[in-house]
Amino acid sequence: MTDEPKIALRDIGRVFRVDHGELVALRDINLTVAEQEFVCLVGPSGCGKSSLLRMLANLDKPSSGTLAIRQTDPKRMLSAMVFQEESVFPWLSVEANAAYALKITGRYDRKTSPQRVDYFLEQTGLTPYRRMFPHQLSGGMKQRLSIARAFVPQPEVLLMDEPFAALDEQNKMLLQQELEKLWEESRSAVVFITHSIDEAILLGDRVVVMTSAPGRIKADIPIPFKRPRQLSEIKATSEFGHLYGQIWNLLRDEVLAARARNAASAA
Amino acid sequence: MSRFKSVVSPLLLLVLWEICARLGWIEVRFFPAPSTIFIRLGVLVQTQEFWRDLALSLQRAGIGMVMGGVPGIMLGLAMGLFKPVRDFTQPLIAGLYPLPKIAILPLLLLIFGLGEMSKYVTVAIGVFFIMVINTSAGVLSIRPIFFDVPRSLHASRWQIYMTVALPGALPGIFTGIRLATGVALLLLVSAEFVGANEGLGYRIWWSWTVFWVDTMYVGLFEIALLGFLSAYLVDQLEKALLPWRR
Ligand SMILES: Nc1ncnc2c1ncn2[C@@H]1O[C@H](COP(=O)(O)OP(=O)(O)O)[C@@H](O)[C@H]1O
Ligand SMILES: [Mg+2]
Repeated sequence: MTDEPKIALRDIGRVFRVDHGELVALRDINLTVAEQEFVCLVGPSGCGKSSLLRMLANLDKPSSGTLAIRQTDPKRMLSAMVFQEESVFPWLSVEANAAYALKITGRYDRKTSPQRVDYFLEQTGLTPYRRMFPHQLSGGMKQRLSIARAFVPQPEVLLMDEPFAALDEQNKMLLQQELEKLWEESRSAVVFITHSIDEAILLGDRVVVMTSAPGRIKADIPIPFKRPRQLSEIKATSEFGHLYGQIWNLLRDEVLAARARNAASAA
Repeated sequence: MSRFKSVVSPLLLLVLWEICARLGWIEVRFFPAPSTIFIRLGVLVQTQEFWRDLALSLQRAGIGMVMGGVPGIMLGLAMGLFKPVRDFTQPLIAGLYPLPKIAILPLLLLIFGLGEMSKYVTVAIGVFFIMVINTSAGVLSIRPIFFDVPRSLHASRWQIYMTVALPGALPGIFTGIRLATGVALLLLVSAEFVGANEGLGYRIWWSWTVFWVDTMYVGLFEIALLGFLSAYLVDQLEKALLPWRR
């Protein structure tokens, strides 16, 4: 391992052209993510979190600044993304969806790939449904499938946009636990967007708090808990309460600011 | 069960018709009883002419559908995927589509003559527009996020077309094919009315002019049956090829 960051964002700005001029979605974003680091991104809705992740995912370009993801293993896939919206292909079976990234990047190997697909279907509880099509699955199962789809190719960087937001509480807790385990095995760097402070503290090595629009980075808070973490255990510590309070205070100011601005523009 | 249901309404109509004809409520010289028509059918199926007409019409409809359908699907895909293509062709399609194809039959006969080509082209033109419209609508109905998935994996354009645009457009393409089979029969029979000396449409027109009403009805019955069978076939094909549709 080197000290060079896996992901480096320098002075990133993103301006969207809209009907009556321009919308500054992101401004002066400076952020680095180390090799195999798990970074959680929190911020008021509309502050540009998804826009930032889309740039990392090769789906958009910054209007200013530079963005670099350092590839360490040229044979490995650089990045994969779990989308906020439902994104599994209705025309592919569950197992074909899971294998999609390998197939499309020419990494599908008849000998080893089926095992990998099996493994992640098992981890996400989808093995019994492998030959079904997405319209036969519940919303939570579809989201689990899109998580499996991102993990199967073992990308160097995993980008996750509120992957658990649509799940019920029990499934969410199970998957959070699974995710920590899968991530430790996969040795990927992760950028994970969430609106749950609990989830950010449970999963992150760092929690990055963004300001309301235009999004900037407001604070970068290291999370010291040892892994593997149990939410029930860390929640009982005074440290957790302290971190939670700190992040909530930062966020509350921004949410209130965003509200005030929306009210002003609506008036 | 559903197969049984789909023949209930046509059967009911035939029974009602038969009763009306037997009771003398309708003029049997113009509306002969179904039993009379079926007896005539029984006679005609033993002639070579019957099968030659049928085979020829099917061949014309089939070739015309491929000639119009393949370019129609290709242009439809291009229009759905590329906005400049859409902007350029949309006004043309919108303007030309509602023109009754039958109205340009004389022109087609003039250009392509009385031979087979004029029949193919008549069918092809109708099928082409239907496939363009339904295919491009199919591509445009694909949610943008489905294109983001392969792009986020650094897939090539070609891979994106093959793994997202094409499968995503298939339901629209099938809707087009379903409509196109009906339109193909319709246009073919019209074309054979005016410019042929063989084929189903020709036979219907000819039997009418010599007042062989029973034979004309056999022809009409054949066309109805073809319409029914082709719809059934397209449904089965769709079920087999698109198992992922609800
Ligand atoms: N393609 C786009 N065109 C115009 N505006 C956009 C586009 N994408 C996002 N935006 C705007 O940028 C802002 C940030 O959006 P987003 O990144 O989705 O926020 P978040 O994910 O933090 O809720 C919003 O005001 C949104 O409307
Ligand atoms: Mg978002």
